[in-house]
Amino acid sequence: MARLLLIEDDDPTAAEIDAELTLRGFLVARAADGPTGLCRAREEPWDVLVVDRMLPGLDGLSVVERLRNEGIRIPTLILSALGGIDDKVRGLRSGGDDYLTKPFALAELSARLEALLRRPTESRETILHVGPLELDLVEHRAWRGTRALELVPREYELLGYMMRREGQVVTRAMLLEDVWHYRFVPKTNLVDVHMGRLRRKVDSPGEPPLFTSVHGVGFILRATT
Amino acid sequence: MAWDSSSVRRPDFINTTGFRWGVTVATVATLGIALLFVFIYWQCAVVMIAPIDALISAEADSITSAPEPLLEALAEHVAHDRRHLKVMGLFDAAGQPIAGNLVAQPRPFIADGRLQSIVAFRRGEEAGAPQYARALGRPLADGTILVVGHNIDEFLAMRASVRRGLLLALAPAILLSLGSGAFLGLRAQQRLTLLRTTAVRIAAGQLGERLPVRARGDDLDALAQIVNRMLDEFERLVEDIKGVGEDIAHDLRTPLTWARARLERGRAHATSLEAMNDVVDQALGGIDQALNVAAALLRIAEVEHGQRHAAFGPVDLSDIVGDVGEVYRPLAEDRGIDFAWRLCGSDAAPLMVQGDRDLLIEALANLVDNAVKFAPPGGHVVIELGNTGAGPLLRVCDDGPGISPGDRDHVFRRFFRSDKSRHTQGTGLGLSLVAAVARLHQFGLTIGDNEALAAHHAGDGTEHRTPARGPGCVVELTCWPQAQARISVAPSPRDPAPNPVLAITAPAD
Repeated sequence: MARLLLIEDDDPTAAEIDAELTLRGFLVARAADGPTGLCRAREEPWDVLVVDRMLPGLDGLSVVERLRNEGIRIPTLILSALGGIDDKVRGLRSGGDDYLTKPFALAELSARLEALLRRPTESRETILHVGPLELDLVEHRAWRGTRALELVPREYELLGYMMRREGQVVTRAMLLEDVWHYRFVPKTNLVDVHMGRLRRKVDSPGEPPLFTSVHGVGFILRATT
Repeated sequence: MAWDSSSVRRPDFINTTGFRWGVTVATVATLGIALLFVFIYWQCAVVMIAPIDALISAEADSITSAPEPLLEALAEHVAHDRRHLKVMGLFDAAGQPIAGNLVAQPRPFIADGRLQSIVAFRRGEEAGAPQYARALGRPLADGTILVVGHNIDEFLAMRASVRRGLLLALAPAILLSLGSGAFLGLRAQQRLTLLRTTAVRIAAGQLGERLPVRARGDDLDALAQIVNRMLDEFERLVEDIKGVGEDIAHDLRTPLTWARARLERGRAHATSLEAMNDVVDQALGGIDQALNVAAALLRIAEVEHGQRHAAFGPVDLSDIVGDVGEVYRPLAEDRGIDFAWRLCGSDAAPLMVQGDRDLLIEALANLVDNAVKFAPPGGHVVIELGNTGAGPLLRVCDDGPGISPGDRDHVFRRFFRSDKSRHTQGTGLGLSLVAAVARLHQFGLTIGDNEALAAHHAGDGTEHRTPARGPGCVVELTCWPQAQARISVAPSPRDPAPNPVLAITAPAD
């Protein structure tokens, strides 16, 4: 079970997050202000931190900064009501690993925490394997079993991103940010259309589907169904 | 907004511009008049006496230098004085008269040959009447003193009447200057008071009021006109803000109302867990839409207020067009829309602009997102990037229902969505965001339709190749810094756009 420290001063929000993440198998502890949070983060072994940006006593960014300065590298997600680009940049610069703007879907939060916990290691591998899938990052070629897949450049990137996160829920917002590097939410179902194309190429009729949609959240690529 | 008008201190009368003006005008005019009078009087008193003095000197010379004996010459001069103006006499050293028409040597008198003003008494019929005269006394070699003079009664009378006239005129002249000073001062004061009271009313929130401007148009009127133009702009902004407030309320309330109703009905009527889940999902959709409105609004505020120039750098527009084109092509294809992007003009260098790459992508993607959303199945969407003389021009066209000319003005305002698209999902903030990005970059932004575009190209031989299924929507971003970021509507056929001709050269597919 992943041990998670939630540093959040707003009780109802904290209770919701606590309940949702406990359900999803996290072991959640909570600190209600900056100094307490900093203390607990230092003293106990955590797998992941969720830090609200506005905290009494010591603000969230300072908490993260101090931990990083002390050499504590626990993966950290910053929550904030400040959604500006500059706010986000500042949040990540202070040492946060991910930044989520309030209000957010609880599913989005848990998907991102999952991603933080299972962050792909920076491997030097140039060929990725997931079940029958094989992706050559150098040659830009992909196969499912023996069948070569005809992909456009963006689809190689998308497939690579999914393969590195095998078995994890990947949200639309994560894809927009990480694959397209877009910082806005299209009003059209842009991500679904691209994902649909990739899925149709990867999962031919008759083959066991590797991609699964998670209703209202995103997509999962699984080696086995 | 309410502004207590009593907090504006009414200036003391002495401190008013009008009063100062009046006093200044009156003082200057009075000083001028006084100076003029002094000069006139001086002219009479000093300058007009000079010829008399010269005459006296000449007479004294002619008497002393005459060939006949002095006494005869003197007698002759006296005898010839028919107008009884001459004052002449020869006196011994003790001052006793020897000859001439004087009873005694005038006193005080200095016989040093210089001219002086004297009072003398003549013999004969005028004895006893003082003679006011100019005279000189010349001591002669034998110890006697020759006195030669001239009566100046006439001169004195004239001088007195001049003085009297001047003094009589001085009072009305000073009164007149004081009066005109007061009049001018009061008039200036009245105008300023009018301006002030109007300004106080405006400051108190009556933004419809305008400063009075007279037809004659002096500098005060010019100033009032500038202030009035400023007020026009303020009023427009305030109206916009009011409109935005209503729009926010509407756009937030609509999905929330809908979500609430859905939840209420679900709570009352849902009979199974599935049905309830369905209801909750729909309600969540409504709430998400409301949240998206808030997020989009904050994003626009961030772009509008943010000092994002820090992120400015050289950006290749053709790169952005290709990027956004690739991203949106699958979407357009799925919707059966003919989608294309064209880079017109071959030299790449001028297609570079100084800007924020991410924001420009966001703006273009918003335009394309809109175009794809509104183009009908079987319709067309074209992104064109061309080069005008002044700089790159980016254009996104579709042939959807378009935006009616009446609505185009409002489209760049936050939250506006024309009625035709009310049924389409979206926060209605896309174009407002594009406008904010354009403003930040000082780019021009124009919205029009295909008809306007075709008319625009009618003369230049290029063909606009978006067949019109509907009036369509054409949005142009003129990507060069313009002194005042221009957000405008439709280059209509009758009213050509003020920007340089949009010379999109032959399309290179």
